[in-house]
Amino acid sequence: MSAADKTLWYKAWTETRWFFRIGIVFLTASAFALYFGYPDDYATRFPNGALAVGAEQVRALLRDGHAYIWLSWFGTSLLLGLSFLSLALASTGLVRSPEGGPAPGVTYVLSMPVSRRKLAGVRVATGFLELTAAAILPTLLVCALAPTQGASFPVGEGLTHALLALCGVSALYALFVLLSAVLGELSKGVIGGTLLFLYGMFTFLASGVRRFSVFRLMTGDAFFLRGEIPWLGVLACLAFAATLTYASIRIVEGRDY
Amino acid sequence: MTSELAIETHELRKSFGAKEAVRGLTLAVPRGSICGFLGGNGAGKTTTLKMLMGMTRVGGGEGRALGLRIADPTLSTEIRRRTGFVSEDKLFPWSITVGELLSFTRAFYPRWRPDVAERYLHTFQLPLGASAGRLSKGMRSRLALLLALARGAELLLLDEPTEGLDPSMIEETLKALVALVAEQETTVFFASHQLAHVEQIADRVCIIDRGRAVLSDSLDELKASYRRVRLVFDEEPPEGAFAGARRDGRTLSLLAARNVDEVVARAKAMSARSVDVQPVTLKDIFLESAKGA
Repeated sequence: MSAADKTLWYKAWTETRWFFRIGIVFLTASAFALYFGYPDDYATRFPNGALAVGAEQVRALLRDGHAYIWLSWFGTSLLLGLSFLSLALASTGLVRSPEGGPAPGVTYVLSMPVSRRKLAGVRVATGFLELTAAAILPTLLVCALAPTQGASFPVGEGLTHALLALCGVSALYALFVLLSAVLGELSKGVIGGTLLFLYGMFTFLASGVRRFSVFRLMTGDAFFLRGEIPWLGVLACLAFAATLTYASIRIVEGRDY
Repeated sequence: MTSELAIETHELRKSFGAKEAVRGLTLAVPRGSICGFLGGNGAGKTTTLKMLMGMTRVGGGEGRALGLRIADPTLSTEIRRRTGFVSEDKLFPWSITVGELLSFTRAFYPRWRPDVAERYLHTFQLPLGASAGRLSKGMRSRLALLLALARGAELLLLDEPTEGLDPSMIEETLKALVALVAEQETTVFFASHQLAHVEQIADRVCIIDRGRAVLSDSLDELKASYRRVRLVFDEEPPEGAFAGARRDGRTLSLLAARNVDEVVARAKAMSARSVDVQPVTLKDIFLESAKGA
């Protein structure tokens, strides 16, 4: 990697690091909170169901710590944490428009001998790597802390769930990046992204359409309940993410600054 | 089109919606020259510079910088590798220090001049530890100039480079530009409203009005060919005797370009009591060009 490429990655890191740090701190705190507030009786938790499954299924499932950890972490904390982190990372923009945010200077960046494709590509990739770290590292912590409460969540199973969550959040992230590229302004991107997130959450919770929701893929319910990897959903999410990322970069390439 | 020219455009065009910012701009800037790019607000100077840098897409016509087509994205990257740029806004992108910004920038330029960076850090009194995004306007101009000068560029495209600078810094900047041309045969193409600065260092001038070049020549040629002619008559001179002349009672004043002898001869034939021919400033030429466009 050339010195110029390294500095490009460093630049992308400096522009996103605060959101990443906040996300990691939130998820790490949530991982610890899961065990500090560990219940004596699982049945008292999730009386109204959880994001991942309905109330009846929760009651059937909550007989051991394994299910409780899945519902609390993969079905709630990681799902929400990654989703909001993806929105925050995408809101920083690929290549800022002149009116697009608190740290202008797009003309300086564009005066560098770097193609816009590379500038935008490095930014997207940086966000994706940060999401990967945010999905995996706190999950490893959750797996490692489980024995402190006499429970168990194997690392391999935890990583599989984390990767499923990552596949789902990649689609969300690509969608938010596209919004940011189309709308240009940070505030519009954030508002649009939040609305889409709420809509997605609604489709997840509404019975009948739940099975088509990206959030369901992120919880990894098929893997937890039946041991199946939802390949169709995984491939659909990755294809969706790749297509939208490509579209975002093309928009940035064609824009006047 | 030959590569003896650092910048050459032919019928270059750019519109933003219904607004035509650049309307068939044709200009040629020889390598090694310092060319002032003059025009009123909204004349199309910034848009032209951004098209040369590949920041704004070319709407029509053709343009080359350093012999490379500006409309080609790959060649545009090469143009930027060999060009120093000071933008109109002079803003920096993120909350990093001046020192970090220098390190970031130098990584992209194989011909980076650490000696030049060091010299102007000292001359411009820029603190390495200060946040680049929080500098005052004048300090941002100094930093933008330093970052452009130290790139070891063959071409400098500068948009109002002295904006916000105090007189002593303006002097330093103008000296730096002249020194750079002498040392490295760099071409300097700079947009400015400060005609005195242009007159001080430029050897060529291009005047643009409403997206079109109305004048492009060497400054010496222009000054040699333009004269202010003041004619005093005994009686009211006839209307329309001299196109574009300013009338003040029995006195007419006009700017003559390359036809001074003809104007003087006509004035004498019309029995002018006195004919006074004076040299002109760049400001006279600029105002006349803008008026006549």
